[in-house]
Amino acid sequence: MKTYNVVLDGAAAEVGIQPLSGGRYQVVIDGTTYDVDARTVGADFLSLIVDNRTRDLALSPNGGVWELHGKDRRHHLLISDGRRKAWLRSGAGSGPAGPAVVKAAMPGKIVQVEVKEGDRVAPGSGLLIIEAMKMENEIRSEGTGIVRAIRVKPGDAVERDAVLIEIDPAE
Amino acid sequence: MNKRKITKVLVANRGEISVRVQRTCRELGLATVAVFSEPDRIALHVRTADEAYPLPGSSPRETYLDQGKILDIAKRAGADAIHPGYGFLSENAAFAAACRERGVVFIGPPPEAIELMGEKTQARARMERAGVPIVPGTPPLKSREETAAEAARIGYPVLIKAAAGGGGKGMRRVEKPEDLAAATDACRRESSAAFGDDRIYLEKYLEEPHHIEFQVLADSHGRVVHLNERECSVQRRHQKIVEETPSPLMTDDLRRRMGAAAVKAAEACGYVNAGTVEFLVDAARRFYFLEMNTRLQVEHPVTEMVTGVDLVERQIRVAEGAALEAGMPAARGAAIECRIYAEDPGCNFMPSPGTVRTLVVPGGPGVRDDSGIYEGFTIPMEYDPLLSKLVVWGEDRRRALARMVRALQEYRLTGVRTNIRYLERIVRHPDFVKGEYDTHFIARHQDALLRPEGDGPDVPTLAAAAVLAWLEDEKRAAAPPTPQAGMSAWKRAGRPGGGEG
Repeated sequence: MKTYNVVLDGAAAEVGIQPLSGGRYQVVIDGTTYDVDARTVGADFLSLIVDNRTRDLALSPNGGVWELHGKDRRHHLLISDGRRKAWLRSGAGSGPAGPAVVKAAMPGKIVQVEVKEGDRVAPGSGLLIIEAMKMENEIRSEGTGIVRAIRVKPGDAVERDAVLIEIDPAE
Repeated sequence: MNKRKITKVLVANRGEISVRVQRTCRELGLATVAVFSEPDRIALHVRTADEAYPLPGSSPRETYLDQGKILDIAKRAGADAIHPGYGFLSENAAFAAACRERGVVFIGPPPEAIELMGEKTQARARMERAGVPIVPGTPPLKSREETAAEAARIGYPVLIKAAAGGGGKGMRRVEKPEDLAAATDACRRESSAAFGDDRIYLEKYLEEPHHIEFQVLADSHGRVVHLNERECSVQRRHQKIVEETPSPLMTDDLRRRMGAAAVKAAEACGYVNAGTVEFLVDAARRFYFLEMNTRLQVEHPVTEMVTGVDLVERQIRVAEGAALEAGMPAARGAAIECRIYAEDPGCNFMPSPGTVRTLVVPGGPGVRDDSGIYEGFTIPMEYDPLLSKLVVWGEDRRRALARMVRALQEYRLTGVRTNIRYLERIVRHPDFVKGEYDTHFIARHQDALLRPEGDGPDVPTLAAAAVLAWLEDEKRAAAPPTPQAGMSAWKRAGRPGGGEG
């Protein structure tokens, strides 16, 4: 029996698993043992039967987090194998120390920068406007702070995750 | 008009609408010609067409909006007709006129009707003269001062709209005078980028209106008919997302009066081919002409589902000079459409371009999927993030709703973020289920509709997690890490760091 720590939709859980033969497993959840029949289907699907209940999941890896797409359910899953820490992320933005970094959530073109270095911003303050897929989208500040640096100018094409603006958090 | 047989159709568009038009062409035995920009080389519409011709460049202006290039291709390909789809050149009178001059059939209305109805303020004046009720508004406005004065005269809130516009592009609602200048500038920018025309005008913003439109068909022999309404009140940022017919607000009397007004509107502009007359309807069921879309609408399939009429087929026949039949088939049952977008509802609906990893499309009774994508397709960032239109038919609205929920649940699309779950929440929302909604539905219920993703742990999912963890370990033990290219989902997910942080 092997034990894993997982975080499923934000809730930590410990699961035990013992493989049997031919796609069958014994899985222990909360002290109860279940007979699980699990088959991989193609590269990206997992078909499960647990106590005659089915679960068909499309698996989409996304930066260390699995997205599981079921019929009427969606889940986010993080797995730790005990040798490493679970890849828990500290929520959006950066840690408490350094500047907050505003990144592009998608590739696009900068239409307008609405702040300048030294400006004070509050939650909801408009920072810049980015155009992608024919729509203009305004990026707003999530917190309070002072604009430390602006990394882009109107007309720039940016890639996903490109750093746009740095903000020094303030009380 | 002379009768003229069409044999080969160039579809001057991309994505799902090009594929949809090609399907009817194929059924009619007509050859199809696709055009494509550089990012669209392996787009679905290129793969499905009989012939395909490149449009060098990537911006709309140098590709799908380049009239000269497209007309040259039509000539080279020997296409005797051009179908413009929606957007791009579909409501461009100069293009329709250029087709006529070159002897190519434009599958759409005559340029005169496009021009008249496309200039929204002119259209309003013509409708007013024809006795069709209109929303209070202004002619095109030049200066900021004039705009401010007119806004004050009409009274806030006002809508800023693109004079050359359509499809909600550029449109903005303004609540108070201090927001007017910035909104006007943004509207002009978007309008200029989308239509090459930065003129704007103002309209009174009606409180809690329904957006209801009528499908019309007109032939070149003077016959104009309507094929009932589509309810399009579920909108986000003035973009329709869910449409249905019949409208839950509709009564027989209202349909008769609005249908007659729609036919009158088409007649007043000398309309030929398929078109849509849009109205705003207030809570007291007073209706006002909003605009006429002189093209096939995105949401045309709901009308096709209840009438059984293939609107693209009728467009082609009318363009050949054929007469419409005297009576259109009566509508039967109810149909709903959901627009599936590559966007992230959890992140302010940011477009989410990327590669489609897994695609399972719903099927079964009464389900239609008009899609422009496939597994492995990389959705380009240059264009609208519309991936597909999921349409269902049911004997009545209740059955159609249940079918839509079922079909959305069958839909599996991974690799890019989509609004599929968001759509499911819309069609399951109690007010939507009751049919009690107007154009404020999305804004009013935003919190309920934007519940965070993740349905919480249960036994089968935890069991899946255990199995996944086990299989991951097996994979890691079996093979040392190799470059990511070509790895399956099983291996790739084990790597932290990629994706969003």
